[in-house]
Amino acid sequence: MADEIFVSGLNVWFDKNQALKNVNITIPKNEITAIIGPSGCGKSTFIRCINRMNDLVQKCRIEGKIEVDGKNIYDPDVDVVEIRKRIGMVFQKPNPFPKSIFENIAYAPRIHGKEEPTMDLTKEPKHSKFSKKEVVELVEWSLRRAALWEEVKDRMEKSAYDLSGGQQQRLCIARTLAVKPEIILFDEPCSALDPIATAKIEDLLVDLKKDFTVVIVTHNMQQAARVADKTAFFYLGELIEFGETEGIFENPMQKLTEQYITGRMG
Amino acid sequence: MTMTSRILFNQEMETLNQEVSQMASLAREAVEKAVRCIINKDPLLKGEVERLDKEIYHMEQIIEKRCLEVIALHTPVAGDLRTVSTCLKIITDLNRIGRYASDIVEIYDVVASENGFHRPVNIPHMASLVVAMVTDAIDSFIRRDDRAARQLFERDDEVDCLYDLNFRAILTYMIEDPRKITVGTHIILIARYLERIADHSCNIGERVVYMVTGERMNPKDRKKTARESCASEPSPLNREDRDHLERSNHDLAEK
Amino acid sequence: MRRKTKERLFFLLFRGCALVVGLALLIIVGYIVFLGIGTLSWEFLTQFPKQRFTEGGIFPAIMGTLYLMALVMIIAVPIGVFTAVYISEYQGSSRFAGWLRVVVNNLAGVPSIVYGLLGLGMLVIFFGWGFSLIASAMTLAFLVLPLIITASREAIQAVPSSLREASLALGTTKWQTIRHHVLPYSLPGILTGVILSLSRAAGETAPILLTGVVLTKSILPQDIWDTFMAMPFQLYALATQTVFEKTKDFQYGTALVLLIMVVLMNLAAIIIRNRYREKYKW
Repeated sequence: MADEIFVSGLNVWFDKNQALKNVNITIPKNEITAIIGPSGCGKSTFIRCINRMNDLVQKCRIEGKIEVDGKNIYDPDVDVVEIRKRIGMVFQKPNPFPKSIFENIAYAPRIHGKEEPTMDLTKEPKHSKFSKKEVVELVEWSLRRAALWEEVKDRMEKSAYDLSGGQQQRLCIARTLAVKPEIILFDEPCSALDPIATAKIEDLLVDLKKDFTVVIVTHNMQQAARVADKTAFFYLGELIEFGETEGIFENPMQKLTEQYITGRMG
Repeated sequence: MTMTSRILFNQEMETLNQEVSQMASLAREAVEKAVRCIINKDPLLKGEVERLDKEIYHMEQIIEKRCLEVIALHTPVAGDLRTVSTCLKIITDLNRIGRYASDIVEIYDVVASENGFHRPVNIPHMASLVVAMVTDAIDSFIRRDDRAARQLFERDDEVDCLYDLNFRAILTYMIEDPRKITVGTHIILIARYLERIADHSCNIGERVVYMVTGERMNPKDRKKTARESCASEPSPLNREDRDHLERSNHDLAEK
Repeated sequence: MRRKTKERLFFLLFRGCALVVGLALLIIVGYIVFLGIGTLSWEFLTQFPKQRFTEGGIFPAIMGTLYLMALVMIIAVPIGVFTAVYISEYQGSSRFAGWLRVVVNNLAGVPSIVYGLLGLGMLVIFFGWGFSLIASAMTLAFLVLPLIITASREAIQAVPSSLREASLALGTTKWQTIRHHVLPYSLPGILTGVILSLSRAAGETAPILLTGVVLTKSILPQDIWDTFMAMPFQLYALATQTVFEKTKDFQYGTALVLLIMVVLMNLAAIIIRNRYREKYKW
């Protein structure tokens, strides 16, 4: 199994607080990796390091390296915008743009244009514009892949805000897919959704891992147990245990892990 | 997972533990009484053992239901999951143990009426080993002691050996005196039941090891020194047992 | 019972205050409308004043005010909006942004006559622009800039950061995010702020008094360096420098036209804001 994300010696400080302490982890390609842990353990901080969203936070200092396909994304010559094209993110609360469903998905591809793929994260790839037909096809493809097409195909011009919470979240996923990333990060994507919507998204994740690498932060352990191939347990900024999900939930190696997943912590 | 659900969960796990322990001690009592019934020729114990067996069966159903409830409602993981699955499995073993105890006392009528074997061949010794194994298996579960559980496997080998010896001895006597065939075959059954009880105690031990450490034992680990050494030399038996066996053989030969 | 009476008492008090305010507004507006409505006519709006403001119309004053508004808008809006964008998006919580914020807030409280003096000293005299439309426009621009900046900044900051994050996470640059999301969504608020500032500027007398307005001119201003006429000044001048009886029609008429203009501008602000709100409902 190819390695997709190689994290080594990752330390993160917000002002004087150290949010992550010496995290070393290898996230495999085309698998679902779940990040679990109690509130404040650093899991959101960790995932935001992968697509460098933490760069937007003032007083955030990051040390260490995160290698994607062999290149450290924190190298000074790397273009952050390119990173975020290849590593997408879906957030906790669905945040579609206040535009039509079609526009939501078409926005980013239109800006990026068609590009010739490149492995070089330092240079901006060559672009050419999508034709109108291509945009429409891309939007349909994204919605189909996000299991939303059937429900919205007749109202593409309607506002995204008319959709239910679960549909909005799938729209956000479709929006991310349209940019054709390699890795998709999910930051507690189901915590604002009801069980049925959650189940639909979980099914979607399992389908997505065929073509993408999925990393999901969740505070719902059962969710991690249901969908993840590998699970990582964080506590107070440290990576305590990382391994096959079955192993973690049947017989974890660390006492802390056992305490957390059996609910005997805190 | 709120704190409230963990309180309920902990209560359920505690109840489960108690019920399994209770069922286990019933099983132990059944075996003990069955052995005494046969050896001391005590007819009253027969009824008690049968009653115990019924109770054991009843408890299995209660506990199984409780295990499934815990799984459905509380989704236990890790240590808790292993505990619940262990409970589910050992109640089967305990139920079988109770059943075998009941089977043993069924034979009482045949053995009691017979004047023949006053001292069944080495059965008391085998029986005491088996009763000890049952007791220790149950204790290892209650104390969550995987080391004690592992020690059961060697003793099972001993019991298996004794069974082989008894079997051959009784076979010999039946050949020598065909009138003893009825009693002989029934005594072989008793020995067989005891050996099975020992096996089930081992099963319990194996499950306890899994419950405590998460390790699934290789079946080969269990039957390490088994039949081979038994066939070649009676070395698992200590001097006392060997003498005892010699004397028993002698007694029977004289009848 | 005591709690209920207390509540009713307060309720009556609040209602009373609101009524007083409403009544005052009604009286002022009614007064002007009543007295000025008779003067309004097509000639009044399209002709130059004649016979020392006893006949004709106030056309040049209307146009002068409009030219002024246009220039102020051209100068103040881009500067104001981009400053607001800069403070909100690019500097955030740095010390410079904080300092800027304080400065802007204080500038909003500076009396308009002071702005007038600033215009006079710096633009008219020091830069040598002389009394001109552009000097007045620039002065008024200084005056409304804090208002525009504040309103724009609030509108921009009201855009939820989740939308910014969503755009950035798709691999767009900060500027693309601002251009395609932040600015469009904050447009209602910005527009409202702009129009309200302009309607304030429309009524300012002191700044233009010192920088370029005149009472009478026979032609419209030819370019931005020209002097001009404007309604607020005209009202002030007529009220203080002429015989009331002779020019009272013009005075009431000017006041009414000015009032109508301000009302129309505010109405426009509301309509535009509502239209954009529908478009970008969030």
